Formats: sequence, structure tokens, C-alpha cells
Amino acid sequence: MHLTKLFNWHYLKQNMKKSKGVILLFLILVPVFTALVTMLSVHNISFVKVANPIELVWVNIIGLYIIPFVLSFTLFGYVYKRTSVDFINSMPINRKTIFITNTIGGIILIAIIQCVTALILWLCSMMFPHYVIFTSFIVDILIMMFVSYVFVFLVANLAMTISGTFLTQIVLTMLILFFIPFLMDTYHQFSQSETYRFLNGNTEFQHQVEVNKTEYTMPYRIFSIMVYGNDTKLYSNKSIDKMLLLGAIYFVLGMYLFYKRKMENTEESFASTSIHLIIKALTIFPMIVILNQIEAEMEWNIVLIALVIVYYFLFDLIVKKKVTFPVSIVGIVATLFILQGMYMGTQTIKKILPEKTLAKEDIKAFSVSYYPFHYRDIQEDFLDNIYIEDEQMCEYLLNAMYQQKYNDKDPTITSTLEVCFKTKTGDTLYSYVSFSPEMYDAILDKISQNNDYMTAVREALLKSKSVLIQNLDADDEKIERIISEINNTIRQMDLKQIYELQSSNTCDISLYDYANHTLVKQKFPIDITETTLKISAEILNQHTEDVIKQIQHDDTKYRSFYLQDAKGMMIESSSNFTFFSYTQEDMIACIMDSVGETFDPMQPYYVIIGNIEDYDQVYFFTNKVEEIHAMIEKERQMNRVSYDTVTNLNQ
Amino acid sequence: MIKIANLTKSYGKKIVLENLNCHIKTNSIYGLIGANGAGKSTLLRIINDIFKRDSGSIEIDGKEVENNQELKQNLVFVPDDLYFFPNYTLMDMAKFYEAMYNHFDMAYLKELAEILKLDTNSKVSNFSKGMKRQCALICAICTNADYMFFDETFDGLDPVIRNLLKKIIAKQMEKKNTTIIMTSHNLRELEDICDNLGLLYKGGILFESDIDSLKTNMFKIQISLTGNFNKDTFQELEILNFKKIGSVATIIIKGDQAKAESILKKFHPIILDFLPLTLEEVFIYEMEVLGYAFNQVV
Repeated sequence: MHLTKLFNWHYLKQNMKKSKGVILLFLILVPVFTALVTMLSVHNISFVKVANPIELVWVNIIGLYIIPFVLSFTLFGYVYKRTSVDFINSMPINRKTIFITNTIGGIILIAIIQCVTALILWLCSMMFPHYVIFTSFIVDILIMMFVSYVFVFLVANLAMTISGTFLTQIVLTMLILFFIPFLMDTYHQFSQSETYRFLNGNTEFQHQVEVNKTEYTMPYRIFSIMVYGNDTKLYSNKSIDKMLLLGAIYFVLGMYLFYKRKMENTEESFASTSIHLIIKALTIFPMIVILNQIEAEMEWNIVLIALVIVYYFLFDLIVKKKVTFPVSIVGIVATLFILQGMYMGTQTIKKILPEKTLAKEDIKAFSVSYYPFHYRDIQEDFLDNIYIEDEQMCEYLLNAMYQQKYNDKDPTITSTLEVCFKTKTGDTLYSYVSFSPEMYDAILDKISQNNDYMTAVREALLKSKSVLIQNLDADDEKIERIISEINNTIRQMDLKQIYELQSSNTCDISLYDYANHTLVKQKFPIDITETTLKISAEILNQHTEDVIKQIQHDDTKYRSFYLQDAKGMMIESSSNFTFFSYTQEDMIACIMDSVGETFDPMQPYYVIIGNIEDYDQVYFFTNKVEEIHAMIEKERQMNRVSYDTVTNLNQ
Repeated sequence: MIKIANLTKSYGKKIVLENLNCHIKTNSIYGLIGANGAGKSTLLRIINDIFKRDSGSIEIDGKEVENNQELKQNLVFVPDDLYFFPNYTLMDMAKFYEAMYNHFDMAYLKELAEILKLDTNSKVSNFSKGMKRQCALICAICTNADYMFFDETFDGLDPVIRNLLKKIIAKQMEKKNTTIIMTSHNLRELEDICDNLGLLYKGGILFESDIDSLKTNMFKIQISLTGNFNKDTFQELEILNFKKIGSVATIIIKGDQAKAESILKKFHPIILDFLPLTLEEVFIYEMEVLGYAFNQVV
């Protein structure tokens, strides 16, 4: 058969023409709302902001669960009406051609939606330079959402081939998309046989580790991220590969089933009652699982079971438009018994299966990272890629974990590492383990000797394109100098220094990049080197001067000032207070008098911190130590006078 | 020529068509009659590859129908329940047909629409039921397909429009050697338009014949003789039905009319009238011959 016979442009054009209003609406919905969301995010921000991927794509994500269904219904909806089936299928066009043409048409429409959305995001990134949207992120979104939309569209088309109504198509699509991942997730969640435990005989401590979960297709993955929040990385190569493979299978299967479809099966749920009952039972299974997981009062359980029964009848009413009570009552009782029995059976089997205990023979490789990294927003992708195959070290770490003391009150425990093992069976096990200082040092010492690991850790910290200093942008030359300074410093640090690199008490330099499909954020103290401090101070001082100029003569704007010394310690204005109320004008004068002056990080200095209404916190670095000392003295004196006055009045 | 052999189709456990065999000549109008639910529409849908058959074969001009896109360019089907895209005008619908059929004649459609006084730019949904049928029919005719299938399409049309459409169809048949297959459960609807008739009963074609031979081969007489007489009096004739009320008998005879007349004249009848039979009557008596009670059939 010629390829031209498989695709009929005239049919596609006419098929789209008949629903042009709906198609046009859904074509512009995602791009328009994405543009609006982006503009709302940009609106009223007085500082530079790096776009959060989920913040930008949530409209697209919602669309993922609606638009492919609408497209499938628009293009294939004729199969649900007897009159339209007669009309369309009597036309000189084969079923295969109809399926392929409509599928390609739908994919083209999805491509248009995603391309326009990507274009709008790119235009926004051009129009609003203070709202940083990485181009690589836009490309990722384009690929990820396009493949995901196409996947849902193909699943919806597959469901259409055996459904008699649009509602049954939706139910079936949902089952194909969510049922198997839900079952697997439930199994992982409750399966004791999948859980490794570290047994410590002395303290009866059982340490459960997380087994790396299977990466599902995007519709379930995104749903899982949104609902459970268990993964922040939106893009997944494995998910995309899986969707491409499954999508191809579903397409071929859909084409075959469409060719074989009994077109007389319209306005009925499915061609056979048994399929209807199976589908209905499958939709009830998640409810049974949830019912079993809820440890509620008996009354609540009865209410929930009643809801399941109502759902059972409602399902028939919606998808079949009729309820046969005697059959349905027998059906619901049988379904509940069978499903509950199945669930309890699997629970029993799980309990019988022996628990696994991790032994050194099971471990293939390991990786570690410093626990506090998580609190500093550093993404640890390198952990997923760099594993050290060192049998001796694996054994050492395993022994360390078995011997660890798990007592929060124990003062000898100082440091926590995330230990990650790759087992010979392919499992990845993560575990946070606390170590005594000696053991911690010994482990870091051992790991530092591995060049691959050290390179990976440093690379993880060095890859950055965008630099923000307390949410303020810098010019290219300054960014380059800061990145270069930080990189040079990191290269000279050993592992322990890197791990224990603390945030600044004043403010941080944030380094951003969208790399390996993830928004990488890293924070470093602005005084990591003298150069970084000097550049940062210049940028911060300039911003503070600009803000002060704007609010100097505007008494309606609330402002408060604080002082910090070079070590980052807050200066007390009076006993236990840091708020400088009597020297506000002096501080503003000091800032304005310093316009054009150069800050020298080598000289003693103070930082004036201002909280000004409608503005982010402002920082001003000054070497006018004498002037500041005078202000501190004046503030303390005024506070003392005030305190004495109040005390006298009280007496 | 349409050749259907051993066609079987069932909906679940219900067998609708069973080992159906049928031959439809080219350039004829074939009327398919049968009671409601006899399977007329199902047969047309299977011929048009809308429904899949369980077994059997359908060949049109020697080519298998199933999955044959080229062949379907020569088939057009107008179902009993018509479908028009929402908010479409007759012109929009015609454009759809034009996109699907290679030989669609748009100029002819405009001409026919003018004859039938159908506004091509009005929404079809605003048309009356009869006007919608006219729209569907002229769209189908303008496809210039060799085989046209009309499922109870003429039912309910007013006599003027029926006559007009018959003329249009006749012209089309003359122009393109078109074969028309139409169904109805009302014989009177088909009587004056079809060349051939087939009766669908219990999943098969029970009886088929061309209308001319049906009508010329069977006739009704009213006869009265001077003496006493009964059915056995006329043993030389092939009597399908004999009813006698008083001295006058009504007889349905199959065979040659001239021969029958010469035989009957030998009895010197007081009354001898040859009356025409309606198609409905022809079918009733043919069915009785086949052993079916008419009231069970139509």
C-alpha cells in the first residue's frame, strides 16, 4: 500500500473544519494561559527571579489531562454516534487511513500547541530579562510535553477503539495511564520483600532504606510529583523513552483494533458485558486499596463502602445509562469480595516472604554526599551518575552503618552523609546515616582519594551560567569574574571543606543553571573570596543607593535599619535589640554620602541592612567605621534615655 | 454487478443475516423489502463496509468490498437516519462530499438545489425532515457513484418531490449506468420505482424477481358462472388463491393471461373481469405459494 493511501489530507482538513471552533480554542488555551501565568509571575517583581520549571508549566500540565482527550474526541468522536458512523464510514476512505490520518492530525495539533507555547516562553524570556528562563529549559518543556501529550492522545485513541461512549473512553484511558503504575506503587509501598533493612543487634535499630522507584510514564509521574511531591525533577529521559516505546505499541494496537472495531457498538459502554464488568471492577480496585490503607473508625469504613456501592451503580448509570439492580447487587458483592480477597492475599504473601538483609556481597558500587547539601538547594545529580566500585570501601561503609549509633542525644554524632548503594541486582538504595567525627573524617579521607568522585563533586558545583547576588543581576563581566573566583576556590578545597561550606550570615551569591534537565541552584557566601565580596558589595551598594533615592523623601514607606559587622554578627542597638530607630536618617545620609566611593573588603567594614516597604532587603557595605561607631553610640544613648524615661514614668 | 455469497452477520448472539445470497444487476433499481428488523439496513451497511461481516463475501464488479478505498469511490450510501455536521450548510456538506469523492459534480449539485428550491447557504439543521432527505439525496447523486444505496430514503417524501427525485435518479441512471439499491418496509414506496425486488426474511433473501414479470405473471379475476362451481372446476389453471362470496369468485392465477382467458371462456361466464394486482398482493400470494403466511412476513 502506498503511503499516500494511508494519509488523506482532504479528510483531515474536513474533519478539523467541522470542529474548528473547539480545535482553535484548545490550540490557543495553553499558549495564552502560559503567557498570562508568565506575565503574572513577572508582574511586580523588583528583583531578578529565576523561573521555577513547575511554576511555568502548570497550565501545560493541566492541559495534559484534558487536551489529548478533547483532540481524540474531536477527531474520532463520530464512532460514538450511529448516524455519524454511517456517514463517515460510508465515505471512500479506509479505516486504517482514518486512524492514521486522525492520529497524525492530532500529533500535528499537539506540535502546534507546544511550539507556540515554547515560542511564547522564549519571547517572555526576551521581553523580561529580569525573569530568567533558560532556553534549554524551554526546549526540555517542548520535548517533554509534546511526547507526553502525544502519549496520552495515543492512549485515548486506543481506548476509543473498544469504547462505545466517550465516558467509557475516558475511564479506559485513565486505567491504561494510571492503573499499572498505581498497582506498582502500592506494591512498592507495602512490599516488605522489597525493603532492605540494616539490623543493628545492639540497639535493635532497624534502618529502612528507600528503594529507587520505577520511572513511570509522564502522566502518572507528574501526577505523583504534584500529589505526593516525592520528586522535584520534572524531566525524565526514562519516562520519555518509555512513552515513545509504549506510544508506538499503542498506535499499532489501536490501528488494528480500529480496523476490527464493531461499528455497531455505539451508545453502549462496551461490545460485551464481561468487558464492562472487568473495567468496572478495575476502577474499584484503587478504592479497595485506599479503603484498606485508611485506619478509620468503623462508621467511616461503612460510609466509604457505601460510597463504593453508590459509585458502582453510578458507573453503570453514566456509562450504560441504565442500572439492572439484581445483577448489579450480585456484581458489587462479588466484586468487593474478590478484590478484597485478592488484596488480603497479596498482603499475606508479602508477610510470608523473607526480608532481605544487605550484605557486602550484594553491593556493587557506592556513592555519598553531604546531608546538609539538601538544605542549600544543591541538586545532587552527580550521585546518580558517579558510583565508586571499591569493594573495600563498600564493606567499610556497610560496617560503618551497622555500627552507627542512632541516638539524637548522643553528642559524638556530628555529621550525616547520604550513602547510596548500587546493588548487583540493579537496585539503588539511599540512606541517611550519622557518623561519629572520627568515622566521618575517615570516610571522607577514603572518598577523597577517588579522582572520579572528586571531579564529579567539583563539576556539580562549578556548572553555572547565571549568577544572582541576593536576587540582583550582574553584568556579564562581573558574572564571569565571580564564577571564575568561585571555581578556583572550589578546585583548591578538599572534600570536607566543600561539604562544610556554609552559607553566609549576610547574603549569598546564587548560581543558577538548567543542566541535565534540572534547575541547578547553588548558594555560596558572598565573602567566599575577597574579589567576590568586592564585586557583590558594589552591586548591592548600587542597588541600595537607587532604592534610598526613591524613598528618601517618601515618609509613607515603612523602613527599618540594622547593622552587621564584618563577621556577619548583628550589632545590638540596645540590650537584646538590633533595630536602629533613632539613627535612621544618619544611616540614609551615610549611604547617600557614599555614592561613588569604592568599597575595600581588606579594610574593616560594616553592613547596613535595610528593610524597606515594597522592596526586597537592601545591603550597604561601608568602610566608614568611625561614622558607624558614632551611630551605634548615639542609638544606644537614645535608647538608654528612652528606657530611663519610661522607667521613671512607671515609678 | 453486486454478488453477495453466504453472508452472515450477528449482533452478539442474535443472528441478523444468515448465509445470505443475492445478485443485483447493473443499471437497475433493486428494492429490498422486509419487516422492521429484518436486516435491510445491516445488509446495506455491510455492503458499504460500515459494519464488518462475520463471514461470506461481497463483490462489486468482481472486486471485494472490504477495505477497498478505490471501489468505495463508486459507492454512496444514504442511511435512514441522516447525519449532517453541526452548523453545516448544504454547500459545506457538498464540499465535504467533493473532498471525499473524486467525481463529485458541484455544478450539478447547485442545479439540483435550485430545482428543489434548497438554499445552499442555509444551515441544514434549519431544514425540514423532507428537505434534509433531499439534501442527502442530491449530495449522493452528485458523487456520480456507480452504486447508490438508499435506506428508506424515499419514505415520507411528498409525492411531488418523490416524482421529481425519481426523474433525477432516472436521468442519472441513463447518464452513468447507475445501479440503485433501496430499502423500504413499505411495498407501495418501491412499487413504482424499482425494477427488481428482493424480500429479506429471517436473515436471507426469501424471494427475488423483476417487477414486470411479477406483475405480468400473476393476475386476479372475478368470475361468476351459471351453475354451481368451486376451485376444482378450474383444474387446468394454476390457482394461487380462490375466494367465493355468493355466486362471484375472486381467483388469483399464475401463468399466461391469454391462455387463462381462453380456458375460462369455455365455461361461458356471466361475469369475467381481469383485475390488476398491486405489488403488495403479488408478494402476498407468492409468499403463500412458498408456504409463508403474509402477515408473518410484511
